[in-house]
Amino acid sequence: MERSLNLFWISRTMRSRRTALVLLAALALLLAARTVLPPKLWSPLLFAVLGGLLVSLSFCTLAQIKTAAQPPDSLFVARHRLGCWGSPLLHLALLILIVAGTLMALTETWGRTVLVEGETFTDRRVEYLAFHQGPWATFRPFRVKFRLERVNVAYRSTGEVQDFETTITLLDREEPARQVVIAGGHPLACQGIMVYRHLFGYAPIVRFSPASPTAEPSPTASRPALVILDTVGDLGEGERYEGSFTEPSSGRKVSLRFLPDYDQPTSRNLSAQPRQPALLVRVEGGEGSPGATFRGVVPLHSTLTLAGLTVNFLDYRRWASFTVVASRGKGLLFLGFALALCGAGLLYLFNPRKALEQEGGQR
Amino acid sequence: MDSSLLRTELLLHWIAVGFYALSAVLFFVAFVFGKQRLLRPAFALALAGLAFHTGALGLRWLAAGRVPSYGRYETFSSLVWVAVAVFALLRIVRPELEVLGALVMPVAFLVIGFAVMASPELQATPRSFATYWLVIHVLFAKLTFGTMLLGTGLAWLGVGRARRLSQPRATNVAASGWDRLPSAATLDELSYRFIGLGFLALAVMLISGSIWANAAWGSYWGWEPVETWSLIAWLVYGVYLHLRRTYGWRGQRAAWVALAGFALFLFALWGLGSVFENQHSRYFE
Repeated sequence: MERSLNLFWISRTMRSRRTALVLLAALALLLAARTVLPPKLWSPLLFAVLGGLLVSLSFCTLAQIKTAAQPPDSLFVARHRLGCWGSPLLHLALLILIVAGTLMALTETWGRTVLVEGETFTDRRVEYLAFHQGPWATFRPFRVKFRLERVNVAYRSTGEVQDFETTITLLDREEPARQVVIAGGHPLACQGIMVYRHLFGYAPIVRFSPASPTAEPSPTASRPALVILDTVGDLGEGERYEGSFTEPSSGRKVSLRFLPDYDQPTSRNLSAQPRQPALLVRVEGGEGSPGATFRGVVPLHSTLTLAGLTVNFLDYRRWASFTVVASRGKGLLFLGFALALCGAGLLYLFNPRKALEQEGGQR
Repeated sequence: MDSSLLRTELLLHWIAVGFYALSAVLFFVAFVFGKQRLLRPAFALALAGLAFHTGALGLRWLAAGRVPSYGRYETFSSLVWVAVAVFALLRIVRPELEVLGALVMPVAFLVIGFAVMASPELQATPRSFATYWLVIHVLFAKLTFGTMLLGTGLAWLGVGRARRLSQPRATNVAASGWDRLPSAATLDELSYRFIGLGFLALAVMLISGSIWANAAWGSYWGWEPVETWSLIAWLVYGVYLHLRRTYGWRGQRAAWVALAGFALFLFALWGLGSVFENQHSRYFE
């Protein structure tokens, strides 16, 4: 008896509009908190509120569908009856959207990879810079290989980066190779997997060798190194290309910064457009001065000797990072969108309560 | 864009600013001092401003080959255009609401003033902007601004009208703009209709933005500050609609919730850029 009373109370509470209102307000507050507080604080609460909202929405939607499906009485003309479906549809849409969002998060496979011009992506997990999967996701190998051919960058008149796109070659074993452009807003859709272009940057090809002719070069020292420099900042907002690594022959830390348009007389980088590329090299520690930092600029196809190290800037290439995403629930999401629009539209265009008031009747 | 076209567009913009300023002054005087005869010329000036403004934005759209909503200059100018156009339509359908111009036109003047102080240089946009989803997203964002401005304004006019009626008045005092307004109940109902339309427009804005974000960045929802705060505003409007439909909230109580929703929407639109780093910043700066 007591148990059935509890169940009745839970059902009544979750169906109540007051509960729905409290949950909506709580969700709004938590979302606001989310933008300023660390995830540990708001995450459990947010999921609890979303869960509560899901249950409340389910009860409300069922109750509303039941009411809307009741046969009309004499005062309720068909035109106004349509309005009764606005609210149930909107609530159902929200329910579907929450379910779709959850499903997508649970089944999502997400990875980010970097390719230098000329490199091929073969979809092994090791090739991702970052990778995560939802608990219900199964890793599906991307059977089509692709090679990054070119990174095409568009610049503004001021020399800032405006946009970029990547030209890739799809290397399918079953089909002839074909070139595809992946641009902003134009991802590659292939076998249920979407590939988005993310960022681009520069990868200078540099050879390091000891400056002293008597020094013994290590086997790795004189080999040209391709150094992928990170893009610091967003496109078009004073982006920089930087990176640091340990130089193998001496074990010293070397930092590199790509200067696309370096003007030697003024010692300034003029724009983001690679007209006169140069590398700003910083070496920590030198022969006889372990705590010191040495800096110098080496233009393309030139050599610089810095703190007992010869740096030869041989060439450079562009790299692009790609986001690879696969998830389920897209169809459900679009169904939710469509129902939300239909529901909100019906709710707005047909107001049955007002119609009743105008007709002077009551349901 | 050739420089002569840019000059013409700028000139049209400034003429519109002039008309809006005059219209705002006349509406204000008409409302506060009860000079009813000024309402008609004030509205005529607003319409003239709107005509020049339409020309300016039309030229810009034509020259740029995209919806003029990139950067502060275009974003805020088009925002004002929609707000004034919605007001003009409302005035044509409901002439008794002409006095609402005392609220809309000063806001329009201030916002377009803020817009034209920015650089009018035409900016090239990334390829991800070449999509209909962006046009839908941007147009509905502006429609949300226009309808929510009017909805919130009407709600508070209704509150003011009700207060005015409840106060005893000397018989020799000239009738002010308050006395020309429809009843408080009518204003309240109209406010509800506008906020309902704004709720729908905000939903379309969020959905189209989400679809566009997925095409551009591979995620329908990125918890970016502007989208999060727009969703918060939408939730608050959802609370408002529930309170009205279920609990019958009217008058001042409903007006406060409407104002909270509008403040949140404005914060998402303008305030967030100065507080949080976000993807939308570059479109408003």
